[in-house]
Amino acid sequence: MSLMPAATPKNDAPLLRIRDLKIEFRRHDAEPMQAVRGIDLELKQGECIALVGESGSGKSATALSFARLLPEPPARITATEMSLAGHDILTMNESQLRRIRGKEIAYIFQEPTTSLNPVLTIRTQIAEALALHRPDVSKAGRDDEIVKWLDKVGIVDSKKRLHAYPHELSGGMQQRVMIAMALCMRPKLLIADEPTTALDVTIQKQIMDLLAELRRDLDMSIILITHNLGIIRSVVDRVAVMFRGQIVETGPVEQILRNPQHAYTKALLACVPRMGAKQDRLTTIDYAALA
Amino acid sequence: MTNAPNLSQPPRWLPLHVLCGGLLAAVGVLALSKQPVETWLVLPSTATEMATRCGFSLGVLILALLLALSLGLAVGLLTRRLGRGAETFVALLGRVLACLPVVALAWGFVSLWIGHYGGPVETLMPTELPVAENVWQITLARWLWEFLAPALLLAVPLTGEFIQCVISDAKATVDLDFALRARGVPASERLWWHHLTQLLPLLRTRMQALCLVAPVYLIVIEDVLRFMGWGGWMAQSIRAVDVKGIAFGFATGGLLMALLCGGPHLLRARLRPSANRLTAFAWQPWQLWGLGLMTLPPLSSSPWLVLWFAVLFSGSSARHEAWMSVEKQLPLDPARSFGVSETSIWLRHLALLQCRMFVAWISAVFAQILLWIAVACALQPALWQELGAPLARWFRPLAIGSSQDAARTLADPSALLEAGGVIALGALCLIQLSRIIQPRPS
Repeated sequence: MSLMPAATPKNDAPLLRIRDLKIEFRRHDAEPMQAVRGIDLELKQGECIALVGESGSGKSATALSFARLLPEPPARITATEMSLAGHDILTMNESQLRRIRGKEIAYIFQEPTTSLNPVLTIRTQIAEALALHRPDVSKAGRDDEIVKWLDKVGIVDSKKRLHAYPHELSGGMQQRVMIAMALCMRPKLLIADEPTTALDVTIQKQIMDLLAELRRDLDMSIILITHNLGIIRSVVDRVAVMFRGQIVETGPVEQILRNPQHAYTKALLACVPRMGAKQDRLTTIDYAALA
Repeated sequence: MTNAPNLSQPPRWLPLHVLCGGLLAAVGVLALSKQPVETWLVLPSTATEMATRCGFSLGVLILALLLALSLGLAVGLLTRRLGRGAETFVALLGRVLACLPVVALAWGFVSLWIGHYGGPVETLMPTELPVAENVWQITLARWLWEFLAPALLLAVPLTGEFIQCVISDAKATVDLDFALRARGVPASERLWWHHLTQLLPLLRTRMQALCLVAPVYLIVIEDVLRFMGWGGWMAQSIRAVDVKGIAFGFATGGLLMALLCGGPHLLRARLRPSANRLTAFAWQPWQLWGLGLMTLPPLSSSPWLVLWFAVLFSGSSARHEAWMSVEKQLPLDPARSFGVSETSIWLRHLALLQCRMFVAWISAVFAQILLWIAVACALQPALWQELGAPLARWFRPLAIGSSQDAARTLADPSALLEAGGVIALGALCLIQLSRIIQPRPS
């Protein structure tokens, strides 16, 4: 599977538009904790953006709020505008949200073992997703559709794997199954929340290459959430750097990686170990200087 | 009822094991009583009706187990939506129900039904109608009515057991709720399809464990209600110290339990059966054998010891597995790699945990013993006299041996219910203590 260059967005209509998004979590006997403090974000059809930042910077909370997956309460989501493919997310009820989850916006999470039912076969689980969101696929045609997607994500001997249970697959294979399950619903937006963190380095590269290729083939928008700046260059068009619940810097990927402006972005990039570069010790972020 | 935090997986051929175990126990009883070998195959005179009795008891057991499973699942899954605090409380209520002595339940029910509400005795044992009036609807209704009382009574402790199992076993499943919501899977499907499919293999194991205990409880219930089933036969045989009757009851009881275990056994478990010999040894109806054997000489001289060993054996493999899972997480190999001696490793890493494990096990065994003493006193009323002073006081009202005792209990069940409550509370405290002390894998 070759590494493909990032595709150019096809049109200018924004698929996702967020204005002044704030997320806070209610706490017992304490002031609400502000996880996201007013961010703006726009994503066009076919565009790929990376949300980068350290753990706790609000990346995942932001991404989960796009489909209102955060439990409300304790979470409280507010925004002046929050639309996905023309839907006003904030005014939708649970039943309406359920219809767009998976269909319009799909997620891939960090740990595939927590997303796959250990007692159901791969076929059963992907077939459930198809039955929910792809009425155009008949019952009889589901197996062919599943095999097609398993092939597409690079599962070898996909027909045999149909009847495999999750524990019979390696971590990388399980993540590919998760990607196949997300993609078979043909979502307009795929959110990959640290999809390679639980995998070893060689598999990380394969998964990122796969996402780049699928994005090109399917003309799908992707939001890649990661704290690893080393893996985003080949996949994304733009980068948004998050720090303490705010986007502190945004721009094209090459610009951010080569010429970062914000001190936090510089510090974050300085933390990435480089092969061949002599360093006495690993760099860490000096938070006192950022305050 | 099942005195282990997590049950071990049953052996692959559990029904066959139980059937063979029943036959071996029967042979053991005959050999212990020095019965001539040539008489071993001579059946008791009333043995011809045993097939019908076993059929009746099997019906009651299936009804009670299904009722308890349904109620346990319904309550457990509904509680899941109410949060952790509600789960803890309902699980505790489940344990309270499971700790109620079955003899107090049965006599309490009869006393309330007949004594307090004034229901005629015939309502518990509907009489045969003349053949001409015996249309199938009436026959069915009479059968259902007859089966209802023992099934409902037996379902009480079983439901308690299932409620706490559904809640505690749910912690061993993968929480897919978030990932499924992200896929747009409806709430009902998340619960009934994804959560239940993970839960059922675990409940199957619990069900099989209860299949080995429920028939023993049924002995007391059938005896109190004068229900003409296998349990009634066993109760009469134990009370009359009828060696052949007990042996025949063991053999037919083994068959009954094998049939009961066979049902869940047919379900696909997706959990690997245990190949451990200790498991095969532990997964036997030791309590039934204990109750039968404790009446026979020479074991009748120390009946509580027999009961103690029966309870100890039945929980042994589960405790062993619980310990193995704790031990797996201890840093023993790193300690060995640093050259620490085995004695130091034991002192630093194992001794305290083993001690806690032992105390937890003993507490759970004591709790079970309290409940089984209640069963033993119900079947052999004279046994209460062999208990020490404080225990004898509480177990005396449960030992209803004479018609005067029965009449007194029917007239005023308060002493019986009070004793039952105290025993249940004692067992519950010991079980809670065991749960607190028990080390768990992190």
